[in-house]
Amino acid sequence: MGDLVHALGIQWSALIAQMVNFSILIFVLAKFVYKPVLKVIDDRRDTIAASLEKAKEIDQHKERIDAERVAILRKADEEAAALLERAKLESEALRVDVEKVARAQAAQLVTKGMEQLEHERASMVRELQNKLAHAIVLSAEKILRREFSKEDQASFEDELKQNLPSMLS
Amino acid sequence: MNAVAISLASEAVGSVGGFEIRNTMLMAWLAMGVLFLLAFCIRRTGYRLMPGRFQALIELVVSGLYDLFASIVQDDRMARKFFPLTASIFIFIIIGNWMGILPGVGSITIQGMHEGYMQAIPLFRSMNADVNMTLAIAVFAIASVQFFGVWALGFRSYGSKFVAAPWKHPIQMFVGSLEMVGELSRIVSFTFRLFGNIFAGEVLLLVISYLVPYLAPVPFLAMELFVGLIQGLVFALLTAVFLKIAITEHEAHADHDGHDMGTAAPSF
Repeated sequence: MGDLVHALGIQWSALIAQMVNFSILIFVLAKFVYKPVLKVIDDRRDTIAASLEKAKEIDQHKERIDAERVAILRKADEEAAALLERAKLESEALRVDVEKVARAQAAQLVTKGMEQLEHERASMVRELQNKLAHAIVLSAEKILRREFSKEDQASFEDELKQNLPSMLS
Repeated sequence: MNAVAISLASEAVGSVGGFEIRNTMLMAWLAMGVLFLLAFCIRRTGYRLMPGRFQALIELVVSGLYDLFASIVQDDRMARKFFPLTASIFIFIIIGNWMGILPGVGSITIQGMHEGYMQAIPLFRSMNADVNMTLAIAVFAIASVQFFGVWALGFRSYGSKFVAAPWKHPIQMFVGSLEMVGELSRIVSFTFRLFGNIFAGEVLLLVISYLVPYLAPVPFLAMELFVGLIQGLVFALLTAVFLKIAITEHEAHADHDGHDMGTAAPSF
């Protein structure tokens, strides 16, 4: 055993020195390399996870807003369509009312015009009868070469006025 | 042409106050210096959330190793406890192995006493081609395994893996003694696997370089890079596996407490 140890060059001092060296190496690497590197990797992983979570939330928020926007637009479209329909109906009703009133007014105007025309015609016919009766009486005076008294003149004219319409028709 | 001198033991290149400084120890300090320099550089540039190229490279290595060891331990909290040990074993061993094939290592010699003779001894020698180094790492790793086992399960629970009352559980006592031998054999296997591979690689390179100095050693240098990586990986992965086994309640204890066997997670 002693020969083997000697042949391999095993020495307690060298062995312990190498163990101490290795311990120092582990300590230095753990303190200055492994822990900081693992920490920065963990931090990065956390940051990425948080960012992904945030991105997911933003996506969800965007989807929600899009859905709300679509719903609002759809509602606005429906309201606009309803409003348009109501406006059409109201305008149609208004048009009918206005037309009815216009027709009534036109009919009233026509009736009034007809009445006025009738009245004017009647007054013209009366005036014509008067003038014609007077002319007939004057003509009769000239034909008969005599002058009627005022009372006769008036009596003839009244009689003529009464009979003229039947005579002219 | 000089004869090829091959020595199993590392050579002393000087002494300070009676303490022998060996050529493998110089290499270990150089490897530590390289790692300290890297740590200093990354510390100086600072750790930013948006990493630069250097920080990205360091993060790639550290996170890759962490994921590897965490997949073995299967417990994030425990993996964080073990990570400095397992990652340091891996990084220190591969840096030491790769530095061992740098030009000048083994070829720069000084005159010194070795095995009672004045001879030319290499100033630098691959740190893992010395049993003192591999044994130191192996003892440290297995001692850490025992420490974490006791820390995770408690002294009684962890100790019951090795010791049992012979009048109650004679078979358990026998298995316990085998377990104890197994723990010691892990140190031996760790030590000589790494030492054997690296020392054999050194000898191979030395012989090839002696026979055909130009071009012929190149494929063997590439192979040594690969062997250096594999040995670091094997050492670190086995340590992680032993740590996982140590913190897992063993069958007898689980049976005794009426718990699930084997894979029950430790509670702290």
